[in-house]
Amino acid sequence: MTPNTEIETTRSALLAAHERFWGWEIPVYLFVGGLVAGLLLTASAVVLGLGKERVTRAMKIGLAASPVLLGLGMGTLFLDLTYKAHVLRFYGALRVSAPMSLGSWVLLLVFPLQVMLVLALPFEELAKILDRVPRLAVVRRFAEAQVKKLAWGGLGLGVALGIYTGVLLSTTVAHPLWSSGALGFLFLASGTSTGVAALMMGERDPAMARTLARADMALIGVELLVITMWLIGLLTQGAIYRQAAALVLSGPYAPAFLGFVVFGGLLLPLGLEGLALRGKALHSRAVPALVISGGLILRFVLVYAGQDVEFVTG
Amino acid sequence: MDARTEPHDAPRAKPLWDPYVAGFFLGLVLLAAFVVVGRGVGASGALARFTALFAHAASPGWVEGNGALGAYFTHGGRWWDDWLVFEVVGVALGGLAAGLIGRRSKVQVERGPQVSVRARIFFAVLGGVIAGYGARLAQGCTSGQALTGGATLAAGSWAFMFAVFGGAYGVAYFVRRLWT
Repeated sequence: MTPNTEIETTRSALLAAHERFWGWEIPVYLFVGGLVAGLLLTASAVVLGLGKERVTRAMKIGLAASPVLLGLGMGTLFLDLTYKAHVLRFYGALRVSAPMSLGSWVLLLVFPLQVMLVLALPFEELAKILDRVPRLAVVRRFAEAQVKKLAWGGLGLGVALGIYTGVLLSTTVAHPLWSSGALGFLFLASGTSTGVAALMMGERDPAMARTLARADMALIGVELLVITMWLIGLLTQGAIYRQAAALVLSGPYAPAFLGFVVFGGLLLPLGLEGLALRGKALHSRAVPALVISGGLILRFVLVYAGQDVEFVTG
Repeated sequence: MDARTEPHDAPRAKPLWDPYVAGFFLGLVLLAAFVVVGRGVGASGALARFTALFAHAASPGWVEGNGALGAYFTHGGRWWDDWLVFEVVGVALGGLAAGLIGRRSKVQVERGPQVSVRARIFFAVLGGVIAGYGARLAQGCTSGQALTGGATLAAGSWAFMFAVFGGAYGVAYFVRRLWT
């Protein structure tokens, strides 16, 4: 691999064809990125739609955990780099046409925004710790006064982060399974859904738990729709696209994709959440846990299966 | 399984199915497995593959050279290339759905009135180890041998079934205090 390939092309060029270049690090990073985008989007949407008073303790803890999660996700991205020292090059230039470069800067913007939102909306125990740091008082007052603007920023950067994780794959043009504009929206819907599901696992306010469950059901519906559109797009193009789609529909990845992602991670939680909202089944943290597992497996399946079929063969 | 109930949502467990009706539907599940995937149901084979997965992560060379576990990785094979792996996960998901819809889902250790949780877990693990060892010796467990093999009238599977029930009746006397 040429040194600049990592930065300029996400290793997508035909130069990199025939190489299986991504292991477990990338799906884990894509999952964590989507999860963080979901946490950020949910908290921001609640601030703007319902008011900052309705941001619950679970959401505040989720917000506070987000920078740590994103840091861990970026750690896996670092592990994936062939040339570790090149991590500095990402921030030496901004190439708008290069998804890795653009995404690196989005990630860099997400961190301070998350911190400002945490300062504006700290949970009780964190607020007590922050009170002991007088120098932060000015920053906290500023963050509290600008919480709506920060939430708008959270919505924008959350969408950018969620879509970027899918665009990272869809711009890898040498691989037909990823060659679809639907992937950005699929990863955004899936990431937001996993973020909402993570909050459902810790939510203690019954009214907010129901709101989150309704939101998650809507997001699962969108995700199923985008998956259908993505597959129809692949199946109605050339033979190489059908060959790629067959990997997840009838090939070696079909049991994991159809069984664990579509059924276990989407349809089953959708049905159980719907029954629970109508009082016909118990609420359980196991149901959002299924959504989260499905989101992780989706990324593993897409990253691994996508590398099995290339446009250039032989 | 953990269950959160809301104040207005008093958990009233639905009555259990009649065991004969449940048995009839289990038979239909077995029939459906033969029709859809061309083979019956099982459980211990999937657990053996999970064992191979974790052992392979720790020591790939040893597992690939092992007679029992290495076969799962020959010719580019993957540990999950078997429908039993997915069936076992499906059983867990189906159990979860049934527990939630039947309003019976909660965290608990099923045990007799005189036995502690710790003792119950110890004997459950001990029994599981013995059953797992026996299942590997017999090349199948009560699902693979008794249900699937029994349905195909395999003589070995019927011998297995009688051995299982005979062994259980013989040992039950000595461990009866775990449940009474």
